[in-house]
Amino acid sequence: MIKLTTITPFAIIILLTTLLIGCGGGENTTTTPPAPAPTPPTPIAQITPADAARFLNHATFGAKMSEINNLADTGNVETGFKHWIDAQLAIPTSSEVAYLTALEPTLNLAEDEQLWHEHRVEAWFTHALTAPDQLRQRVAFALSEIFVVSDDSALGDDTYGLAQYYDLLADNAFANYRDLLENVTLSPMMGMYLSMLGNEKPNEAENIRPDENYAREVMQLFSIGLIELNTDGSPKLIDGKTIPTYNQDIIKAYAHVYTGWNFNGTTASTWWRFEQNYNTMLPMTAVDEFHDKGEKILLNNITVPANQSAEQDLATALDSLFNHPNVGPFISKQLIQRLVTSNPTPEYIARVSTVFNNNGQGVRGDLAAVIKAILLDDEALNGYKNSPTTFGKIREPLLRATHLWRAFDATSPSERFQMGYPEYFFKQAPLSAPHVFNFFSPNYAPPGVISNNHLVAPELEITTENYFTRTSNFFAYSTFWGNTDMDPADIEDDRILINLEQLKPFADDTDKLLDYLNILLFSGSMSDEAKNIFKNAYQQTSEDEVTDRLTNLLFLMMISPQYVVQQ
Amino acid sequence: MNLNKTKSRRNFLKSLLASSVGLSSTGATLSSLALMNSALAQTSQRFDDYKALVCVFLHGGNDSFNMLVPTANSEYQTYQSIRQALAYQQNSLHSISPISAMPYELGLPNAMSPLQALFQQGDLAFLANTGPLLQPVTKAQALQDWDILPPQLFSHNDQQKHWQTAWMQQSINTGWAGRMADLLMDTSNPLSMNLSIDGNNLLQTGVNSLPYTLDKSGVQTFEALNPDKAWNTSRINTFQQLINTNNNILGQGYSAIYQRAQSNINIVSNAIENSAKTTINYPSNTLAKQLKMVAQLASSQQLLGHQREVFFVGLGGFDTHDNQANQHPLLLQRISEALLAFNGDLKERGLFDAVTTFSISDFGRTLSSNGDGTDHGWGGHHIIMGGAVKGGDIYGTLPEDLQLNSVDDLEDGRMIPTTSVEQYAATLAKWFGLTPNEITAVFPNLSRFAQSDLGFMS
Repeated sequence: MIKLTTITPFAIIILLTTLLIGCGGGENTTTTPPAPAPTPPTPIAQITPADAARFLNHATFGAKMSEINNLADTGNVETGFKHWIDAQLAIPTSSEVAYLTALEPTLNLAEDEQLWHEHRVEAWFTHALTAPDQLRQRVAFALSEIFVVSDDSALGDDTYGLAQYYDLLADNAFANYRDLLENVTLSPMMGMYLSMLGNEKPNEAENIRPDENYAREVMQLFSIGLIELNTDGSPKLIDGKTIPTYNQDIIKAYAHVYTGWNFNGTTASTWWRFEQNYNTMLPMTAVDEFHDKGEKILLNNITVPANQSAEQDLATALDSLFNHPNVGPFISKQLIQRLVTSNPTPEYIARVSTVFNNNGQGVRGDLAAVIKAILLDDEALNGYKNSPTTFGKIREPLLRATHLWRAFDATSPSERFQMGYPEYFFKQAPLSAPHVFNFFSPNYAPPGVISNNHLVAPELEITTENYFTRTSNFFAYSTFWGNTDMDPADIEDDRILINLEQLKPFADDTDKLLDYLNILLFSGSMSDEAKNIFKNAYQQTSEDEVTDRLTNLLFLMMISPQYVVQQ
Repeated sequence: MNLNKTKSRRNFLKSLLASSVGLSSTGATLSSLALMNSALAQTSQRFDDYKALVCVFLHGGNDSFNMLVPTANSEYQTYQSIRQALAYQQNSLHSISPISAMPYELGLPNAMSPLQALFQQGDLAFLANTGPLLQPVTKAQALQDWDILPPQLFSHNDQQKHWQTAWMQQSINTGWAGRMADLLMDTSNPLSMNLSIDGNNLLQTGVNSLPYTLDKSGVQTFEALNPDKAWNTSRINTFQQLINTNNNILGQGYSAIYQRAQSNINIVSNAIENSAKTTINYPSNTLAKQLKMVAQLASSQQLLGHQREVFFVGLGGFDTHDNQANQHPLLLQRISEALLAFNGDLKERGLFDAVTTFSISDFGRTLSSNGDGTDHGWGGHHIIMGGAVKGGDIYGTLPEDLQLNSVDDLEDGRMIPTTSVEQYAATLAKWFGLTPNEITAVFPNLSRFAQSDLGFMS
């Protein structure tokens, strides 16, 4: 094991008096002494490397320099980003099920062994780090934190079922929200997770009434939320009070709708044979004998007439959710929070909700149009300079890991990305939330400076003192003790290693190095104070080996508040 | 349920609520907590003994009407007819004999047999049918006007919030243990008196105080930011400069977590290392492991510099919408075995009288079944354990019976609480050492309920 860099103590010199104004361009051709950075781009300007990096950090699992340069060459902000999105929309899903299916025969599993959490995590990291359908996968990850299914539950044994669910989210990432909602609803994994699978019509003799679990959570979390919203996401008020979107009667009505569904191929005579019916690769099917045939009064007094089939009832119910005016602001705001910024302005939410409500061609719920509206909004492109103290989001630990490994072309001696159990370091892993409310709440406001400013920082809900420490240790392991300069004899086969070669040509040119990393990791938003601090720290290590110097700098950057807030 | 409301009635009740409890005083009460702290002696001068509260959060909504089960023939029949496949066999129940007269005889399911002995020997009590309330309500009132009930009843995260705030207004973002810490904390001690082994939580979040969160295995120490290693010094200095110069508000929130972690790691890990090892054999479930850490921390309270501490631990899996007949007994067994071991450990450490353990949960569950599980309810029973607890008894008010559509049943067996969260919490707070004025400040709605002390603490 390589020991930690030893650095001689040095006097702290903070060049507070030499602040440079207007940092934002960050051309990587700058030479010493540092010249003032170019003025920020106007909205129709050519895409700068900083713009490209910022956009890619919103739209992928982390910017890498080759992709930054490719995008920066594609034209102006208006057309270049649009073309990139359009190209991404056309790329088919990189399937987790396909990955696992190819992996399994190579593992020589014993007869009583099966694929497990760590293999699905491996599939996820492989796609996050290398898949061409970056935007699709990134949106799927966002959707997986809204339409939550988790292996931290009775589903934990079914690795393929979970992968199939993740593929469903990726397949529907650019589809219509109505189709996404239906596919999620009929997923047997969701069916088991929120117990719609096997839900049966009332049996008054035995005091059995329909299960309310899916009926409640699909409204509270997947579609309309608890209170009525304006298009800009603000609550509607009457006499200063919020208006509940539904009551217990409405939940009961939907609970009756969602009766009669079971694993694909189940019939009335096999309804109770869970093991025999078990199939998590295909959507649930309806068994009419177990479906409640009564009339149901849904949201906004939409009536489901008596004697309809389970499929007909479901169509009416999902339409009633889909057409509720809350869906646009409720879903749009959460997607903005997952991709761009924790505290979008009401105007930003309203602009995206409006696209949700109508994509310009009279279509409601077009998620491709919604994603485009989120990523190309002026606030996404320019929030970093217009509202520097409030714009942005805390990068989720998983996305910090993918960014590090993408930015530094990670490889592994095993030629697989075996991250194992990210929850140990991060308190999160894909499809592994503790409950349907995700790892963190979209409304989480930690006490202190954030809640005093009436802001939220959802991702900080999992950043306890203990996980702050573990996450920072992860970045120590992944820099100091996780790079390709290490002696192969010291490296376990399954380690994931960053490659420092791209930095070495200017390892002795501090300003050039910092300008490069400012683009690659900070989307050009590194403050001059921060730059000076990094510069001093780096120059104090001039006696050390280049690998130690670079990993020390990268470690400090990856845990710095300046980096952790994605702008 | 019929939620038709008449506006005049709603407005009448609203004005009644406002006038009786002074809703307008909310802001003043919150800011006065910190003032009260500065005006009073802080815990280190104020108390010469040690006391701790341990909150056991049963995540998801514990079906506690399957925890205290009627045993006599007639009441058992009622129970059996409503719970159907979820009912325990009558002959499998372990009878308990509460000191006070109860409306019917009760027993514990076999999975809870470890707690039967603790109850009988007076180490443990139950509190019946407790839940979030804005004011006492009858069934007729609850059906008539939804506005006199706490907001968003039956929703997981809202009812979890109500249990933790003990202050049901919509906009409250502090928990009652956090507000107690605002009053009691030693401002000179960097370590919070609220310690969580189960992650961030609202219960322990105050206006000025936050929980310090560690893991059931202890405290994670830094690698490359470990100040005990000389070679990290300049790296830590650099990182501190980055923390100090960051002007994004979200980044400042992130930085504050680092400061708390860095300033407390050595204090807490030192305390854990220097605590005596227990001879008690804890079971391997997560709640037991968390409680084992609590006992270690409580025994080293002098090293932590605390006269008063609140611990937060939890167990998940209680949202038993399906497969309840298999899952719920396993959960009850985990609780019971964990509490039994914790009880023995505290006694061995001489801390049993100083530590009071109590359960909270999102809600009780519907008495009626959805086939193989239950849905979100309202009131539920709770467990209180410790040497200072007047054990061997059941407090609060049990429902007269468990008939569907009884006066206690809002609908489908969602039981209307007869005791409020505030009453439960305030009884614990009084034992903890809060003055009557402080209790009023921490529980502004307490005066709406007849009894401010439920009598289960000695």
